[in-house]
Amino acid sequence: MLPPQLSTLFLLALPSAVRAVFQDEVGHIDYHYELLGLPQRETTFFHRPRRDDKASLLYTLSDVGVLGAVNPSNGAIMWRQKLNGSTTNCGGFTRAGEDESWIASALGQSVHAWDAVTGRNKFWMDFAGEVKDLEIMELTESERKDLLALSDEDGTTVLRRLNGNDGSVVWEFREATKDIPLQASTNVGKVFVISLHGTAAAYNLKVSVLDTLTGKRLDELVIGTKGEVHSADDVMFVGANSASPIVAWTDDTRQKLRVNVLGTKSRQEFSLPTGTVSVEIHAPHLVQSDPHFLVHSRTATGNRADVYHVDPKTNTITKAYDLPLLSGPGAFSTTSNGANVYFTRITDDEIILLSSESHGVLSRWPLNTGSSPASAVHGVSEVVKKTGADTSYAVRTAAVTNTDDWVLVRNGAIAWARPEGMTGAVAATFAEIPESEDLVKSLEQEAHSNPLEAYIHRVNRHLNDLQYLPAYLNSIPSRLMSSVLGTEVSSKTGKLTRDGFGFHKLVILATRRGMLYGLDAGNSGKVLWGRRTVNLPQGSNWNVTGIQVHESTGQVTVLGSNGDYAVVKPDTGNVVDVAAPGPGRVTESTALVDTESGQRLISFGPDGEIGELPSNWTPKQTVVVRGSGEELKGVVFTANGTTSRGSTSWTFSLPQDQRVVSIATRPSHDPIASIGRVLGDRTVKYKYLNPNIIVVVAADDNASAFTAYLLDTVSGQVLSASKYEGVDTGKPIECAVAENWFVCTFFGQYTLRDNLAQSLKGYQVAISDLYESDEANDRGPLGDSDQYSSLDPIDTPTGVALPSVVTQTYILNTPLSALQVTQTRQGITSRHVLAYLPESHGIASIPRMFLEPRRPVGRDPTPAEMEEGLMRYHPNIEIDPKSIITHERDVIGVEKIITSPTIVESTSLVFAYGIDVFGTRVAPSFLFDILGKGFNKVTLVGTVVAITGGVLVLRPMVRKKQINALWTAPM
Amino acid sequence: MRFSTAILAAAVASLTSATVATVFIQPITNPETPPVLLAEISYDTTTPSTAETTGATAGPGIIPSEVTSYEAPELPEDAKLLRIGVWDAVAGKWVSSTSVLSVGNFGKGYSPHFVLSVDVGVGRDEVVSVAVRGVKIDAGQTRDFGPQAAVVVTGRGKQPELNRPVVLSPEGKKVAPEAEKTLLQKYWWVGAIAIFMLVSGGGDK
Repeated sequence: MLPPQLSTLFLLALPSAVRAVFQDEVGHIDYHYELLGLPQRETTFFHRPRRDDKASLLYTLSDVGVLGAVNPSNGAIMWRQKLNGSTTNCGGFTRAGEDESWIASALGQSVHAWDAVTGRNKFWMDFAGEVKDLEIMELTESERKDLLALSDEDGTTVLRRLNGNDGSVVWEFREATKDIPLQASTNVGKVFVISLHGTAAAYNLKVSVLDTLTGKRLDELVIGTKGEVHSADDVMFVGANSASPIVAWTDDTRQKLRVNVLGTKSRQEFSLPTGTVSVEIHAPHLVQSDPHFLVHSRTATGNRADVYHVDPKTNTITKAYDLPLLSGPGAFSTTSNGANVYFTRITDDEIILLSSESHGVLSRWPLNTGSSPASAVHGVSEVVKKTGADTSYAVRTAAVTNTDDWVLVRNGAIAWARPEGMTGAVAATFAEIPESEDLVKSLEQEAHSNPLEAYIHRVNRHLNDLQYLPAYLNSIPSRLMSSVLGTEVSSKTGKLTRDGFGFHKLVILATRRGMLYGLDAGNSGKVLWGRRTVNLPQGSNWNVTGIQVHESTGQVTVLGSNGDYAVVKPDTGNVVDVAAPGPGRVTESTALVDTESGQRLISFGPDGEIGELPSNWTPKQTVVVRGSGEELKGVVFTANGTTSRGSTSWTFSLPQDQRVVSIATRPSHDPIASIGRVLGDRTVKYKYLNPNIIVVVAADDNASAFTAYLLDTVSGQVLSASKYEGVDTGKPIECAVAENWFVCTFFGQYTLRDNLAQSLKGYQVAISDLYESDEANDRGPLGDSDQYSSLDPIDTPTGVALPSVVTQTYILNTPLSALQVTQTRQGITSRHVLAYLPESHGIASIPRMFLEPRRPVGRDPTPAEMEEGLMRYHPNIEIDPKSIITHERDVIGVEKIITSPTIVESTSLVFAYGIDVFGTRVAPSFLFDILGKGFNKVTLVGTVVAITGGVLVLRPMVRKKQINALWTAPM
Repeated sequence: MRFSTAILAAAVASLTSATVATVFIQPITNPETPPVLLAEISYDTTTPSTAETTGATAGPGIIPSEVTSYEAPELPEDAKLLRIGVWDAVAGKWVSSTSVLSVGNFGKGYSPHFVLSVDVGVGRDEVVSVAVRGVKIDAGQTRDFGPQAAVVVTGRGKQPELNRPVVLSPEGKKVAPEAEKTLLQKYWWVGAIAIFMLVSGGGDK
């Protein structure tokens, strides 16, 4: 027996030690892809962050709004900053001044400057309107470099010159016309503001010429476009800061390119190759560079380029040379070293370096993309000229490929590739590693034949399996060794196989760019495959409404919103069936339902309209859909011949002024280990375990309140409703349901009803437990019956037939989002609530025990309550750093967390996606069914061997001694 | 009978500030046939709910209500599931949510128990949901075989139970809580009475 003080110490030490993520588990059980998002063409560049250091970093502002710096030599992230809250197609601007130790970015309404080495913020300015362009003034009257920020403030074009040191406004130029501001540009002496002037049918280009010192207007030019410019996207801008900035656009049929040198009124025309579908212009951005530019025209099958020179004195443009038509889309990038301008051409099999001066190829390298063919979409390059006996060049190019990877090609060889396409994930699911299909087939065959045939078939199958016996026997020594040494076998072999613990699962991830990825959750989240499954039109997103794994076939179905779908194999990504988005039916949402033919994903149109389904698809459950307005509908399906139609059974319409914010349902895998909770006094409180419950959160913006409605989805009855007042309905209100409880998190500020002198403000979490009756040992209206229907009469008269709800609210020290509950195989393990912490970039795993609504308030728990595990109530829950399952990792932009049970009861797999991808496994009740890494099998086996040896040696000795003792006569 | 209950309902409504919810019923298989009146339930949201009277600060509150009229529905033979809710006969539409129940609830030996969820706002109250379940009549337990109703008002969300605020004296120091009176200080009068009784009642013989 331990002394009491020692045992308490032991108890205190135990949970904290077990709950923490051990250092040797980091990177072993979890994996994290630190991602930026897909770099955009205009916002990616190489830049030297230190003036006297040759090393440069690769900077980008991605399409999900993350600004970051990457070490070009190994692809590691130096720093990153998430600039906006949402992960939509973002645009934005980034610029770096030559030899400056800071970079500037603009997104939405704010302009930021960042330290280029550390990523720390230097300053930021918020303006009234959206920033339309950001430029750096390389040459100013003082030493520093300044910023030019062009913004559109509700029809007023505003250009501000910002002090590069602190962001203060040096001067401001305002013009209250209804023009559309396009771009700011500067050459050595002037600042230009280019905007679209006129009506939508025929815009003209207006160039306002401003004084650099005062921002006063010097001149205004209007350039006619003959109705060829219809929107801001039709104008291609280049040479923003070069010695002779230009503006260029094409005609509607893309036959002619028209170019104007800013500051002049004339425009010059150049013909484009026939069949051009898109045109891009590449030009240097430095004042000291030669004013040369390259026109990259893509046809349906190939691409070519023409290089033009601008004479800064006469402002005339002459064609210098052209590059031949090559197949594939191709990509070009511009690099300027002082006055020299280089163009790098990236084709599918080659990297070609050219000077802007002449058409002679400076250097070329064959492009070795390895096993996965991918072609570059756009890229940036850095050119190093080695002068000496023979001049040679080295080029490294960071290119975005058509498979949404970001690769760095150094002299033709791939140095690194980052799977940036995994950002912007919209849906994910866990899938089992498919077992051999032959086995499934033969098992099915056995099930459907008569017993004798099945027996013969089975014996034959087993005889056939004998051929694998030698290989199995061969593998035994290595398996034994790995078992003793505690290493994992399956991670070594390249083949995908299930393991005994069920940790080896696949994760299928769908992104809004139309890519699907397969990750191996058991092998550090390795990307097994990435495949573009749907080709989306430019600028549109893949709106995935449902993702499902077929139980029998193991195939994954992904449903889009425009009648598009894809069926893929989870282990290889091979597409089984695919349909492109069409103009036909619009899918608003999908639901996974049980049907006669297994689980099916059925889709709903706007207002929850479903249409006819084949009769073997008839859902067995009531399907809940969003109707028109703030209404929910229960739809039941009845089969009629070969088809089945849905009809509305119940409707749930919200009271006036309320709108649906979120709906939470019980997870599809939510097993119940115990139907009651045994209290300290050995009585039982029975859980209200209705599988057909949903929580509907309805916000009332005028009253600053939300109501959580608990609905029975079979009858449509409201089982419970509680209204939380003083809530900020503009902030997200999220709920999660599991077992017999639900949690909701929100931000509230109010005065307490109990004590008007006290008020509180902060993020809160409310948890409600549902029981069958208020009293213990009472099953309420359910009585002793073993069946229950929400529709049928009640045979046991009691009070009002509603569940008993016990609620408690806690204050949090941080906001929570993406709520999810851990899932285990049988539900014996206690549950944890997983939540993303958007402010500290981590995922917390909060024990359900802490959120318990029955914690005694204002007093210490009685011994009986302590036995139940109840702690004294404290109004605030501090997120314990030890409960953060991402530990020190910086996981940004998590939109959703999914969980999956494993074969071992203790463990639940976790996968989080959004911008970053993170996966791990958690054991809420600790690893009670797995030996930890600390378990030393060698010592155990050694001890057993030593004891056996000892026994074998000592036994004859002892026996001899005993016999001798018996034969020795007592004297 | 029907007439008299209607008068009674009107009387209840006129005497107090009661609201009457008109509950209608309709078989779900034929939504074209207009719903028929099932019951009228009057309730008064101005009276405090059970939760408030028992001193609880959260949880559902059941307010007094009365089924002022009830007519067992005449249902088509083939009807299995029924839909009930509050119906606006003038506008011809459901004005509350509707819920579903089986015909068996109106079978012999069961008495209907209504549950109405009511959302009380500023100057208005709205019936959110209506449900009815047949509850077996247990003659041993109750004599009241008639229809019953429970009107549940949307509960008020639980607020955190904050700790007692720290009270500071004007000097900025913690004010010590008033010392508890000892047993003798509290109950000295009991002793006094006992002594008085002893003294006054002693000399009888």
